[in-house]
Amino acid sequence: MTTILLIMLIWRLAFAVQAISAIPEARVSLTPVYLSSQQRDAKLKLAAPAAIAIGGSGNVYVFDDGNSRIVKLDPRGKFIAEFGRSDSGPGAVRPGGLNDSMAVDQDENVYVNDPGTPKVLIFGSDGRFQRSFRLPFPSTSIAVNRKHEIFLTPDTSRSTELIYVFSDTGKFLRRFGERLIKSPGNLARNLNIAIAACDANDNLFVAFRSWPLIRKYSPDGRLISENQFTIPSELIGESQRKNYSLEFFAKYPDAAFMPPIITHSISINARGIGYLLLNAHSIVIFAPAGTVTRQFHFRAPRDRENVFIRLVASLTAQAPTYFLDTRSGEIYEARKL
Amino acid sequence: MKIMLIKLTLLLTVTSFFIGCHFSTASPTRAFKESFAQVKIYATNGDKEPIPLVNGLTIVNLFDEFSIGCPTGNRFETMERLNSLQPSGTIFLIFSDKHFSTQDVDNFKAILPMRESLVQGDIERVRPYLTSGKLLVVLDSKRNVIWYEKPGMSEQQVMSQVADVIH
Repeated sequence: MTTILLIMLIWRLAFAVQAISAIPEARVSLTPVYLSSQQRDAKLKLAAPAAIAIGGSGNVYVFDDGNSRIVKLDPRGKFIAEFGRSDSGPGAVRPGGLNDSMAVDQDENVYVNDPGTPKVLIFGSDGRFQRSFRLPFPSTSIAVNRKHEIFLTPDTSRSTELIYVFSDTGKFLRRFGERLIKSPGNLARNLNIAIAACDANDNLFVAFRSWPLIRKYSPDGRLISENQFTIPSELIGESQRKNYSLEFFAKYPDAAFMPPIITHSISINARGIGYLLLNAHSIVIFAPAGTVTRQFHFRAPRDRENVFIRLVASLTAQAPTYFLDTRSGEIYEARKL
Repeated sequence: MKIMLIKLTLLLTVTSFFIGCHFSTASPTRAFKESFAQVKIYATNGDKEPIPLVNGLTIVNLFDEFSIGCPTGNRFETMERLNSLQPSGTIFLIFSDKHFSTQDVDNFKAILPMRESLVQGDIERVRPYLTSGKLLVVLDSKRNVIWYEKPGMSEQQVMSQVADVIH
């Protein structure tokens, strides 16, 4: 009995204390696809782009936050079209910074999460605005499955579920998933900020912006797995480490603690391999089951001048993986990760 | 004589100041009351009807376009806290028909607490009085506006002042 209790205690402690360590360096070959600064036409310049998605045809969609529009590029980075508006009329998209997100379904309809208003806007593959629906609170991420169900991760201090699901006509369908911190509160709100991506089988993968965890949910919202990864040591300061535990957050859900930004984006490729792009250029690779298989730090082409906030893989086998730099408006592709 | 003249001038100045204050605040209030009387909510059959009268107070929050930085979530929480005080009367959260569809409001009913209080309405006439896309008003049993949110009020101020009105 004592042994069992001891094992449980060790297990509990192991879970409570997060692995924080230096991450090994690996080389990633990044080829520029779109360099905003080299575009002569003002229309082609991106201003603080905040989200990126890939369509089934390989076309690349960029949420050009500073210009309140969506830019459509071909796989080689050639400008195809722009859509969205900056006014307050239908189809208007507003800047939402890091919380901007976008998803493209298999028919290449474009789903834009506009956290500023907050609402979801849906554009057809031709860029024509189709419809929008309102949300009672902002969302930090959007994903869409093959059934055109829309998955949103709410950004609220309210005690509620982790994922909200809507139909593509905007009807609320269901919600599921346990938040990291169930109590209401502003710190709990920050800790529960999540990002989500669907795989080709409609499973949903969820990661947290400030906690090193990957969850896999079945299409009907059942938790299948939960796996941790290592926090790169440079992402969490000494002063933050003291209180960086779920026990502390659960006890003080309104505490004035600024959690570190760890994870920027999540994406799944055609083979079900998942990627997390972490802050300060680290990547976590996870298997279709959600287990972490590799984690490494990579050097950006222009080193610290690049600020990559989004990595997007494609559910289509042919497409490369893209990296979006929000500071310079640069897009790079990686053929192999 | 000179002192009398100064006193008279002061009296006139003070009097005119108060009269000025009175009229400058009374006029918008009257206009506001008239505008607010035009607020309509949608009945289940789709007809527009005035905010129903109840015994006790009616606490109404109007929502128009959610603007960036608008503490919408905080307002929802304020309304829930007011509801938990169990005011004698009723609470309405009215979402403008211009910026919220019927489905939006149905979704909100499915997602948020106080589902019976959420309705769609025509709030066009009071749009100029909204601050950051919202406005909280308290009516008495005769539909008289007895309190309304002023521009720049914090959620704490709204909460404490309405709580005082309720009690």
